Amino acid sequence: MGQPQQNIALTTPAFQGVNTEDSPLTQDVTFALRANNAVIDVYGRIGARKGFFTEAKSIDLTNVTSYSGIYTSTKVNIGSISHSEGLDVICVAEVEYYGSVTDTAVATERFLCQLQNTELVALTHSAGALASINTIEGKLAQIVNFAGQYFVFVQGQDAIEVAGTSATLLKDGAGFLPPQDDTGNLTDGITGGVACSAYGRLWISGVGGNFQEIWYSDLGDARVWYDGKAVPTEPLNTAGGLDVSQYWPSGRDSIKNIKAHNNGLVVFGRNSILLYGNAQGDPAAIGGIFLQDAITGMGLVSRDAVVETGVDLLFVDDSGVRSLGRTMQEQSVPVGDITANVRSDITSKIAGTADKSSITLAYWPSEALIVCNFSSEGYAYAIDARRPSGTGGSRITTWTEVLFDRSVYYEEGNDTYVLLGGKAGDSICRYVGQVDAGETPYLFAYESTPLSFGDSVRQKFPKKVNVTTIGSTQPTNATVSWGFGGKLEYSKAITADANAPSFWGESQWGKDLYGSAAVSLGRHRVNTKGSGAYVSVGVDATIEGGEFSIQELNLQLLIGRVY
Amino acid sequence: MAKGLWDTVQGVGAAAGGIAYADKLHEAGKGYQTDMGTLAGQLQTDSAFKGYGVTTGLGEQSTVGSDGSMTLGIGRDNAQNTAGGLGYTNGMANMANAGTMMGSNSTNPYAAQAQTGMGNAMTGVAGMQAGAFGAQNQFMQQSMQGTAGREQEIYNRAMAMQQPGLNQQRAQGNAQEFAAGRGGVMGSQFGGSGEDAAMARAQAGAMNQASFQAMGQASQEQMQQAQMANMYGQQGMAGAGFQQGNAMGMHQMGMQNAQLGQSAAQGMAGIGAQQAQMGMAGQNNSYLGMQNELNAMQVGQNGASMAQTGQLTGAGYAAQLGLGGIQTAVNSDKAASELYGNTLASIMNNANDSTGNSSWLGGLMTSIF
Repeated sequence: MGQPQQNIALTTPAFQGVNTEDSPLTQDVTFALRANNAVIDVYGRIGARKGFFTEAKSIDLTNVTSYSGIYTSTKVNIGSISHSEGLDVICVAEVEYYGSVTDTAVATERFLCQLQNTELVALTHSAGALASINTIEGKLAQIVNFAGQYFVFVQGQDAIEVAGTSATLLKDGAGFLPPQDDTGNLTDGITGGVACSAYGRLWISGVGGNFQEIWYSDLGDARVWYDGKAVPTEPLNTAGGLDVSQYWPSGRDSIKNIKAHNNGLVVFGRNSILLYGNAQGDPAAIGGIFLQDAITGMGLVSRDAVVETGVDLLFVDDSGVRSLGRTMQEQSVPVGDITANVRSDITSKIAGTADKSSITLAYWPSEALIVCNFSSEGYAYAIDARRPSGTGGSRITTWTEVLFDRSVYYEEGNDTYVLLGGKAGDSICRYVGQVDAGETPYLFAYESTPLSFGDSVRQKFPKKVNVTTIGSTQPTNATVSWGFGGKLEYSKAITADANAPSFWGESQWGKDLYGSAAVSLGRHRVNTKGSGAYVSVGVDATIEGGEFSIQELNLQLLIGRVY
Repeated sequence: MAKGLWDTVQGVGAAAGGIAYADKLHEAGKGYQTDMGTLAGQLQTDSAFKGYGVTTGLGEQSTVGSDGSMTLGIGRDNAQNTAGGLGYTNGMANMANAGTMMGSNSTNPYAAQAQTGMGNAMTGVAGMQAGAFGAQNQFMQQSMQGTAGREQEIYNRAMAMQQPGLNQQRAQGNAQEFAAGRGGVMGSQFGGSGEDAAMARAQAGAMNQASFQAMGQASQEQMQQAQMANMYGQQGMAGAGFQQGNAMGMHQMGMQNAQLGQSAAQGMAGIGAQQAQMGMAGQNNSYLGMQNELNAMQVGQNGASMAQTGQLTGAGYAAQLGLGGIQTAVNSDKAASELYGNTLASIMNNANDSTGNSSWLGGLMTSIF
């Protein structure tokens, strides 16, 4: 006598993201073994990420006189990118070009550009500014906003001041006062590549290659720096310096970045962190800035692998993404381990990344995403910023085909923008839509952990898999896979198209399903075969214009004997 | 022949008359001479000294011979003479002894010791004086120099003395800063942190105070140096005074020594002189007998003189009478000669008139001749 099929519903599968740390057999369906190019969508479902849509392709180099010898540009890559309220987006554009018709070798020049509408417009550079920005990779420049202006810091080169559409060296500005004392100038210019704009000052490290010292500017004045002379040039100058060399808890370290947090400064070393309090006002005054805490065993892998979320300061340590806020609160590293669910993977990834500067951390509030990007690998961890998973670690998905180095989030008007600095000639992209730059589709992939359904000793005979998707009405080519023993052996392609939205009077009851205006549910059935104690299910979808999320998986299966 | 020849004849006549009468006078003179020689021989015999003799109790008779030779009947008192010589010799010896003694006194060991000691004292005093004057000069130079260098020196020393404390404070400050997490903070208003500035201000205040104290101290030292210069000057002057006193003492001592020597010499000389005088007196006394004999001879001589006087008086009378006779002869010869001469001359003078020209006689004679 035939055994009735049992329906096992896997509701909102993988909404807790990927978990490669806990034993797969003990995990429920809310964790995934794989969730690539996926995010936890606004309804808590696993779904495809948005695309890296090309925002600006063209570049106007009219203001760059040295560009006259360029015959044609081939690619525009974007290094650092920044935005400030009331100002255009600014970035470092790396233009690859041929110098003539017969040239076969590609030359590269870097310029500071503004994004005006959808076009990059190179700034007017002074010779010094052009030389400074053209020295290092674009992604290594640090752009900060201070007092309504952009300042670009390039390690080993003089800092650049951007006023309107003009880029000049900071030291060439009127009234520039380099760090000095009675012995003379301690440095001719501000040549550090680690910058922080906070509390009305610029805080710079790396000046003269010294990563033990932080120079901070005068209040509200980026051109006036430390003056240790007996009689200061400017009597009201409150600029100064901070030597942290004696405070590293791990003995010796070097400053990787400086962040403002909780009325203090967080000075990240490679293996330790210094927490300075009361950084406001005059830091040097009595009762001014002081070392509040020093954390050892944690550090920052690269300058841009840190991001503020408003309440937390997240950073990439050798062991993954950490939350400093939580660390400070709990004084315990593991609890503050944001990427605890993929710790081994991300640790291995970090260790395996030769170019640590390619590791960045970005926070996109509108997407509730924290993106830990390994741009040199084209790989990223997308961390859900809304709530943690049941393990305490954040909900994490992974991204591949990541084609940007740096990104910036900003709000303008009623819109929010996540702009990405394309590194493969894609210029500036935007995290929007469901297609990557160049109209390139990308592959969403989900794979469940091996499922025993609470009875790991009985055979399961899946007969059908129903996949309920949420997506746009645009058909999405997908593949439903299943298998046993942790291996997806079988697959069937489907076209995940949702029913068009039904409106009263336009469709008939019972024929159409109701849905939202642009996104609709779709249920897709796949007949399956095979048997095994552990059943794995996967769904891959090629995203090329339509949204795609998995609402639910239903497995109809027969439960066999004890095997 | 003229008047000249007459004159010549006149002369020759006169002369021939004169020569003829002179020969007569000459012959008369020879007679007178012989008479007077005879008289003189007589007178010599009559007035010749007969000698005399004196006899006293002092010795044998003393006589004076007719030739005037005297034989003293007594010699010197040899015993007295010997005693006087001995006394003189002794006096001389005593003078020599006195000289020796004076010489001995002149090399008075105590005086020499005193002199040596005084010399040493003088040397010491001179050294001290030189030192005092040197110190006075040094202090005076120092007191006359500006105080800036000394102020800096005092300030440096004061700061060096305070340095451990300052270092300790700084170390404590640094430790406190480090403990407070404020190490390494540098501000433009302070150079370092505010705490550094507070400490720097405190230290600057201390340095300021030290500098002012150094100035005061330097000024005070200058005053002290001036006072010490004055003191050393006074010491030097005292040394000079002492030297002067010593010199005066030495001078007085030398004077006294010289006076002593002179007194001793005088004494010794007096003694020697007395002794010599005594010797000489003794020797003189040895001739006292002879003197007395001579005195007796003088008494005898009075008698002899009276006898001689008688002799001479008689001889004088005889001589006067003999000479008177001769003189009378001479006078008569002289009157005869003068009368002859005058007669001849008056003859010849009549040969010339009153004007000098030949008188008739003269003419006659001229014509004859």
